[in-house]
Amino acid sequence: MGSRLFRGPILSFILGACLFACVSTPVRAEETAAATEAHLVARARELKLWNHPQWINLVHYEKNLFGGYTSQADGLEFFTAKDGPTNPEAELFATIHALFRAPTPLELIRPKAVSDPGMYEALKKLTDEFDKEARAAKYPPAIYGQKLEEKKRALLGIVPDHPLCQFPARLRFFERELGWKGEGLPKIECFRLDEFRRRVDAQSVSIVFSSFFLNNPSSTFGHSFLRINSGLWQKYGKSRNELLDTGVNFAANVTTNNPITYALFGMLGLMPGTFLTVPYYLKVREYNDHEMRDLWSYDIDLTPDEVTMLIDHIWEEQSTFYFYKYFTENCSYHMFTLLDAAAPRLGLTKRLSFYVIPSDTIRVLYRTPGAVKAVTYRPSARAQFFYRLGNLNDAEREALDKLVDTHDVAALDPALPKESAARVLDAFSDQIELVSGDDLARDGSEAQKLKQRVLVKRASLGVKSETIEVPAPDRSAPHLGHGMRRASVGFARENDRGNSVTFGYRFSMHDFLDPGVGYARNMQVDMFGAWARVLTRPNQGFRSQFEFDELNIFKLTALTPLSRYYEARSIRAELGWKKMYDRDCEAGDRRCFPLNLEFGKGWVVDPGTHETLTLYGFLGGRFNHSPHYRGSNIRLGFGPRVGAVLYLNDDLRFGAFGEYYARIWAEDDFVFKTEATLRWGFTKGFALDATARRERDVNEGLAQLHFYY
Amino acid sequence: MKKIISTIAVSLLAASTAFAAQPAKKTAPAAKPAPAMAAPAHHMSGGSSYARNYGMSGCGLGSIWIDKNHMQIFSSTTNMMYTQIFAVSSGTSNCVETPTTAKADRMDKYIVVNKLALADDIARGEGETIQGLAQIMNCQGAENLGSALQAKFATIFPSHEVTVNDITDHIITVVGQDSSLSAACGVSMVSAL
Repeated sequence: MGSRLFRGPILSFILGACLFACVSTPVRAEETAAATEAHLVARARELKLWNHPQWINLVHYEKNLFGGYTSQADGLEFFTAKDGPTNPEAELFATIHALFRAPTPLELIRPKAVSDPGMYEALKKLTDEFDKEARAAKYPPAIYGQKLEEKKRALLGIVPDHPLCQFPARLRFFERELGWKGEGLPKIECFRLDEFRRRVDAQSVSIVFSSFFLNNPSSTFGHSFLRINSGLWQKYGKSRNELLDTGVNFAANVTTNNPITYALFGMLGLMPGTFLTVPYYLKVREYNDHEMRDLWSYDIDLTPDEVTMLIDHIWEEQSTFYFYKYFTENCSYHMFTLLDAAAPRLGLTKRLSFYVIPSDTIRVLYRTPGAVKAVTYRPSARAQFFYRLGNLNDAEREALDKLVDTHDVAALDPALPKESAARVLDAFSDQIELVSGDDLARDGSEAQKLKQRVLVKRASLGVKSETIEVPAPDRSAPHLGHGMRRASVGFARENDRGNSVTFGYRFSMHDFLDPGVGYARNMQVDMFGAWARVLTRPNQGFRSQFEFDELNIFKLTALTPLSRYYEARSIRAELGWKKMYDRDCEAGDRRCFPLNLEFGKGWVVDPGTHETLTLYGFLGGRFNHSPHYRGSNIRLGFGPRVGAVLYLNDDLRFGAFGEYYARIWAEDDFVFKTEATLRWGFTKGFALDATARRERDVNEGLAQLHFYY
Repeated sequence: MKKIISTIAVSLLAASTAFAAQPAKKTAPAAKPAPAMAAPAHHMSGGSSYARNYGMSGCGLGSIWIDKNHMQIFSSTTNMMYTQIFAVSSGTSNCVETPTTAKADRMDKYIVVNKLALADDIARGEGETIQGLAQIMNCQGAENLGSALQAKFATIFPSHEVTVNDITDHIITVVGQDSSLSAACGVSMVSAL
């Protein structure tokens, strides 16, 4: 899709040649074309080709509530029939007919290129002028991009493609299914399509998953996109170089910068999403370096024909858009629709549950027979630094620590052997990137100057660094993780109210104690959960026996251990309604169910440096609101929360914390809570746990069974 | 988001003014024979675009895209950003005036995104971004590219403020001055002056 401009001058002789062809033998050609088309139509009707799974997938039809089909594509240029969005049969015949349509003169002209005389200046002028106009009119980003694009296209003479060039995958499908080799079609050169194919030079494709990134709300669940693996390296190098591959991303054209409207628009599907191809190196720098996320690649086992089909179908996608739905038709979902269009045998979208979460799709993909042939790992800048750090010997480590503390590159111990000094400087250079982030991009920043000194020194050593191969941390491989949804039942006993049966459901995704591998260890991301209980109080109706323990919107915790090498950002945040024992509650049993908002900043220590035992402390605030408080409806609390997480092994984990909040607007000046849980994943997909809890005056014991799916 | 757009627009403008101011700093070694060029030189043509002494003005918008605000490329995950950066430039890798100009244009686009990683790798004398660069430059073989660039690190990255266009020119100069590399990578230094 990125390829919108083409090289060279206008090849007017093509137009001439075609005019010649069209004028000199029009009757003959039209007759053949009409006859071929009639034959194809008859054959397609005979085969009921519109029911073919690949046709359904290529036009992105989906069974609707009335038993018919509706296409998910929302951009109407994707259809050739008026009722195409709902009628696979009409769309099929209209497409065949459109393929035979005589091209317009404009469709035969090669678009201008930026390198054409004067074009570069003209484009720049256009951009400048448009920018003034856009600023005056305050266009939102999506409109800005779209309008600018339209103007550029107009300037360059890029016109909508002839159907032959617009629907190469559909054409390929007809050729194969109807045993036809394109006889009778108009002769057209697809300049832009050819350029696209040449540029990606597809050999194979992979699905790439970028792991979770807590600081960016749109990536809380990870992100996935497609990589077209280029064969171009074979001409120039000895080993494959991913950087020059092509990434295919599906993303919303975000029209708002406000996180709340973003979430709302995303969930309601109000933002148009489109596919875009970009150089893979851009994704690498964005995810690996800038956001410090690991990338996992799943090489898809496609035949060469399927790969070709996929590339052509990606091209077709440029003529449409899909409203982006955060939880259903999102980036990961649409990667599956692409693969299904090229290889209907995989049937990937059918394997997804209604709600689609990127890391879920990776598990589905991995389990689909014949889908994945290899998994590869690409470390984040953070992982690379720690790998380098681990390779240093004591003397080197000491030299590094000195550099980290003093930033005095010139003082690097000259007695160190060159190879050692190189290892130290390489690690230090990575470390600067780890702590400086965006500072490195700011001219004149201290980080930039320091980096320059380090690199000049490093280069002057004249030795090559060893190529580092960071081993894949299989423990956090996303395809190995437990299911994100969790259903729980349990039994609880409170010292003041007796026994109860508990139920719980969590939509996603992981907390510290959930067993197994596949998730980053010191991270909790829980979204949309409900927990409730039925008390076995005698002689009272169900209404007084049933109560909600918690309605959770989100709970996020990131535990980043303090380190001399990077800035630790540990935070926790929680939003939802939560049942609390509180002397300020009006009810006889002193329970109420306030709105609860918590935020805290934390300090984390990892004494063993292997994440087996993590100790943390947070300082934070809490806002509560309930109509059932005595006095004011609002409580504001401030205080610490300290705790520990202990990983006994992959399936046995222990966690404990205590929290204390001093409160204002409260009759009872403080609340506190301590809690300890031991959880055991005794078999895949199941876990048992036991919890002991004390909240102000009451004690509770709780045993639960969890099922992950 | 609006901020991002305007900053990009501003950086584009800044870029063109920056280049406009540049020729005063370095004078084109017009009289020197091409292969012995000491330092890359810049001159202006047409008043607004970036010019290279081994060819005509840069081919794509990529040629005026500089790294003053490099990280802004990543400040958004929206497609719009990518469209801004690549939709116009990605199809322009075919500037055909001279092979070296086309090469320089491709290198600009590559380096604007990979600058930090490339600087690391060149200082280390090896690495993925050097392999990628070799491919972008169509180098056949060129085993010693990493060491050759490493030896000239301070020439290629004379300061932390060096622009992408300059990095490209410096790399082409270094490769052009190495007889085996210039053959392997097909870099011919053409003086247009």
